[in-house]
Amino acid sequence: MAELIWLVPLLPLLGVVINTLLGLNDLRRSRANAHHDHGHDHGHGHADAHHGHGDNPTSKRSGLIASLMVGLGFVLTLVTLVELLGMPAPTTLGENNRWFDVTYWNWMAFGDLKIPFGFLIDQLSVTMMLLVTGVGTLIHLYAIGYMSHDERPTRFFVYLNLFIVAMLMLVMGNNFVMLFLGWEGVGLCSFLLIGFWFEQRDPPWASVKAFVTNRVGDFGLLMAMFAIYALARKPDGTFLHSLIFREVLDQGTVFSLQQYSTFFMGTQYTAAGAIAFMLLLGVTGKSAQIPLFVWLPDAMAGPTPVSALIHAATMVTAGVYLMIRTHPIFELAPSVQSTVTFIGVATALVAASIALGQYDIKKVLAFSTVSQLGFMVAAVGMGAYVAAMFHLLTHGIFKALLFLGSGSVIHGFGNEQDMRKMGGLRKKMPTTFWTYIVGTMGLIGFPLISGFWSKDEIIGHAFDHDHRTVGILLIVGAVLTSFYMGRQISMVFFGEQRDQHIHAHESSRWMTAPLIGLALLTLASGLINVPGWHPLTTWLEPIVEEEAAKFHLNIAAIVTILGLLAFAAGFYLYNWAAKHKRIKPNQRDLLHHWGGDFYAILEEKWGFDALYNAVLVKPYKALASFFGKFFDVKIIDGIVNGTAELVGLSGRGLRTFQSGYVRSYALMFVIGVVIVLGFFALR
Amino acid sequence: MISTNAYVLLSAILFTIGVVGVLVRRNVIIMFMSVELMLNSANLALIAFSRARAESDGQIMTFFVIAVAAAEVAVGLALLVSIFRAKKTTNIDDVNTLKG
Amino acid sequence: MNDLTFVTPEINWTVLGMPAFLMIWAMLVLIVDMFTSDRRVLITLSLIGLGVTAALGALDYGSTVSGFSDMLVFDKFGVLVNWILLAGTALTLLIAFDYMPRQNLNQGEFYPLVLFATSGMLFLVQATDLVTIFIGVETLSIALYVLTGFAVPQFKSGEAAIKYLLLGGFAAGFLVYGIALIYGMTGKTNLAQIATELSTWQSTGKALDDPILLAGVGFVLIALGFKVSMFPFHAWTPDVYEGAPTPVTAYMSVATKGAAFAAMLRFLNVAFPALKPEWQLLFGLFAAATMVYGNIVAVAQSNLKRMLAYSSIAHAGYMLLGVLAASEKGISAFTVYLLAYTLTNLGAFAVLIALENRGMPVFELKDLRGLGKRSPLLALAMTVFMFSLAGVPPTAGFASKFGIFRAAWDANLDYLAIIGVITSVVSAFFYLRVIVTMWMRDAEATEPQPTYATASLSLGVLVAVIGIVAVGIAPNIFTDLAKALVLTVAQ
Repeated sequence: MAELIWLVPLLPLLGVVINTLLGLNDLRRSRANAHHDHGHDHGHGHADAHHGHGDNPTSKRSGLIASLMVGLGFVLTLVTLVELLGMPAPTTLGENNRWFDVTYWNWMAFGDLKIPFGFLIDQLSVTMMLLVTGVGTLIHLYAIGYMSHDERPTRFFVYLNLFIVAMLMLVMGNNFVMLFLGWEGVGLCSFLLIGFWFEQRDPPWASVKAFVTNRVGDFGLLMAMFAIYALARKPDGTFLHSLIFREVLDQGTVFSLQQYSTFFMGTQYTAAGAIAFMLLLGVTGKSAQIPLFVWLPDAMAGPTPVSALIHAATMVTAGVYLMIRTHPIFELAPSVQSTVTFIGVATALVAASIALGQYDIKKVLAFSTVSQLGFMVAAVGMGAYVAAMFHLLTHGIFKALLFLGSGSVIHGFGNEQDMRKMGGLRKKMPTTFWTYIVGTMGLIGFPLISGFWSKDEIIGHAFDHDHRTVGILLIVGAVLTSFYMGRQISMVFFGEQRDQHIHAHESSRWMTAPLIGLALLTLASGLINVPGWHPLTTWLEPIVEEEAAKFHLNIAAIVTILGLLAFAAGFYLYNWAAKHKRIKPNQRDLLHHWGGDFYAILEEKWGFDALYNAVLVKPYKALASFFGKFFDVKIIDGIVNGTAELVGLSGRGLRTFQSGYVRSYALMFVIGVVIVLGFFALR
Repeated sequence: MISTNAYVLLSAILFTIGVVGVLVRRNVIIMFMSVELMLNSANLALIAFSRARAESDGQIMTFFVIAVAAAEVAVGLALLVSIFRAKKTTNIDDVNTLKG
Repeated sequence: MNDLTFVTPEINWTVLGMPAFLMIWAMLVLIVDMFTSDRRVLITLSLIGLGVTAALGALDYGSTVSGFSDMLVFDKFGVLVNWILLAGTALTLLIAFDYMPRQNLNQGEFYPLVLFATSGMLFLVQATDLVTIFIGVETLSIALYVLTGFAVPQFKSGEAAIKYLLLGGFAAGFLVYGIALIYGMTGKTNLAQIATELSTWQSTGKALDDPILLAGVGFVLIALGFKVSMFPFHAWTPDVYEGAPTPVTAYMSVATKGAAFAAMLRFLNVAFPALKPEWQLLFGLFAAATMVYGNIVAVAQSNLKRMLAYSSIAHAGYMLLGVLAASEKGISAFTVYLLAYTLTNLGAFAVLIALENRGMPVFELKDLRGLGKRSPLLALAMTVFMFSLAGVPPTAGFASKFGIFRAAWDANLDYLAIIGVITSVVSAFFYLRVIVTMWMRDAEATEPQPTYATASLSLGVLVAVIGIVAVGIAPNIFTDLAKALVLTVAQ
């Protein structure tokens, strides 16, 4: 399989090519038809064949191709997993022989920097690949149903497959540049998919916001790469000048990053610290952490399969993957590790609280995702890498399930996302309802189901390793999570439907089948690292060198009891409110009645958007308008146009020498000869 | 015996005459002849040097030059005929539609 | 009568194989042409011949063999350049295939003539003696004179041919006279032996800057500079490029340059490394003037063929940087540049061919208006070509220009690298103008002109685009290949 690993990203790429060609063909045919239809009517050149609202057959065709490609990738990854398992298990701590590193060609070379195009396949990347291709396949299948009424399903699947390619590059690359290629690639696909419905008002803006915010983070990642290239030395003291993971993260090399240090504002920073800090900036962008999390909720403007795949299960976890991959650097910088933990905890709490104030079914899930990513980041900061990976996997599954469930609700509820209009949908959408309940159980940590184990492992690690405050704060976050999920379940599925104009119906089997699959996976996913067996810890141990976490019954019991109480509180509170007609469309929440301005702050997302608007966006726009309307027009254009004018003038002048007369050409020739002879004579 | 220097000097003079001929004459046929003069002055120099060194390399070169010159003129005259048919002139200054 | 025995000369087929085979094959095609007028047969035969010639190069690729009293050499550099030339020739035939009958130029001699010219070029690339250099230059030139005048019922084709012939003969005079002078001073015509002779001079204390020798070197370089259209010996280029049938222009603009530059490289690096400071300085000035002149005058052109002619002058300046760098880096950069430029320029001309109607007097920039709507794929391809010519990443044009400037910089020709970068910026103006015209200007109200994107032409364009993107994305594969040149050129 090592020989065929390149097929895993290549297959979706093939899907991109096939679907692009099919799409072009469709376009040509529809144009021909339009031409035929309007043959005598040039005034109305509306050349869109799929302008109706019926089922679009291309969705099934393109979707099946796309799903098949990702599915085959999943199978290949499974085979790779089996192959890695077949390699001898490490016997001593720190030894790892379950990996292979294949370089296909020398991609770029600048001086002594050589960037190979190659893959590093080890326990970590295979785990990520399984998540990407496995959950990816289910979401692709789901999207066949979801996009069946859309005008451009083929384009959608092209983007979706392209995303899979980029994400695989990100996790499979054997060097920082390959990772960056994937990192930017997923950013691009995210941009394209958030703005997929570009005719509408919000999606284009949301996509721009996501892209720009991510660029801020990318700056950090780039700076970290430059610093690693410039500073890393081999154990013998010579410069390494490499960006290949296995060379940079080698123990002897990584330690060299501690040798440099600089004083900045009274504090000493080592190179490792600076690099880790820059990496962290990248992580806050991609994984939507404070202060760069603001793009993720807006990203919900994209189609729901996108939210599930990119903005819940895979892309946003890239930051967590990056930190685990580069954990040797973070471990050299304890102060940055504390910052990581702090950011994670703060994000977990802030986002969970904001989720309380949202009425949009997807926005609740979006902030929930931000919050859960905060849990993972906090875990990485504490050094609980296995726990972070564990939560990443379980969250990837149950959050994908929840998003797909919400998508099914939206799809079956006339594309309406406001929970205040819903209610009582459990009868009309039984499959969606039950699978949604399973996803919720995973998220709130219902005993013995996925989130129960993974969240508990993080909190347990906090108490075990003297991060008591962190542990307590995370418990608060978990309690808030349970509360808003109780609120959501009640508002969406219980009581009576509040907006009677909408005809709700269960979604097609294309959509419910993946829901059921993901629900089963959610129920089983706790087994990935169940206490007492710890398969994930054993698997990742050679990479993270971490012991198996202990299970704390008392902590688990406290978290579970508090969580269930909070869930019940949220659930019954809103059931009561619904019964007494206290939930109405366009009316503020019950909690606002009691909480007042504090709740308004939650509704306004703690004012992050307003702050960024006032501090960054507005001054930036003012500056841009100064440059755009004055500086560029008057000064730059003046210089450029002047130069262009000069060039054009001299060009027209020199043209006259090209007179068309052979003898004048010969004369020019002879002048050249005289110059040559004169040069040699006078030299 | 005439010294090599004299031959080379003569060849240089001939070459210069050829160059000036191309520069100042208008008639395509005369211009061809000037080019021929340039080539043959080079031949003269080659043979003179060859003789001075008492070896045959330079003389062999002249055969190639003569052959090439003949081929060039063959093509040139054919072209000239077609141009003459179109413009009824052999004056190169009248062949001046391509410029700028 | 026994003392008269005929000694068969020893023929080293490895060395002579590529040019000789192609020459013989061209004659064969010429004979076949007498019996059939089916141009499909002719192009198939020609392409096969090119393929076999390329395969002959692959047969002994890697070894360095000299033959015919060291007048010709078979080495990696030569084979690589030959391959590029053969590829360029094949592309030329593909894009000319449907154009020639459309322009009523259906004479079958076209194919053997192109093969003859190519054969001369292969010969020139492998030449390591002044005599063989002369023969190579003239073989390709005479075939090109005829090709330039191939559309002779059109007056401008004949005019272009006679101008090319007169000035070409003029340059040939300088070439021969230069050879004579070098031979006179050193007594040698073989490049390597000239170098040995000069080093004996050095060891015996004889001054190298003998005026007659320097004049000889200068004359030969001028004649080769004429072939690559180096300023101020470039004057024929725009007129000839405009007048010649478009595929011939495309062919000349890439193949002649490649072969002449290869000869220049060998001439400078093998025979006269001792005079390196002199020629680096003098021809550095010429290179700078060529880059500046070509790019500036191109700005003032509205006729597309002329614009590409001036652009090709400018590109000759860039390639000259690689030659002048006279280092391993420079030579490999030159080879990659030649490949990139061959693909790009042929592609650009192919697009013009696809749009050129019969009897069209001039091809103006405004004829491209609305092409983006009329035929988006063709416009897309043209966009790639223009980006590549302008040196925009990730095209081959960028990667190869980067390599050239880098080599020049490392060879202490930093002022040339800087001029190169600045003139590239200027060049972006007229290349991007083409793109803007295609995509953002609407066609005039008149009936839209048909396009002739036939199968063979589309194939040629496709190959060019793929090649450009491949070189652009992974330039290292090609640079590594070119770096692996075991140089008989420069030790």
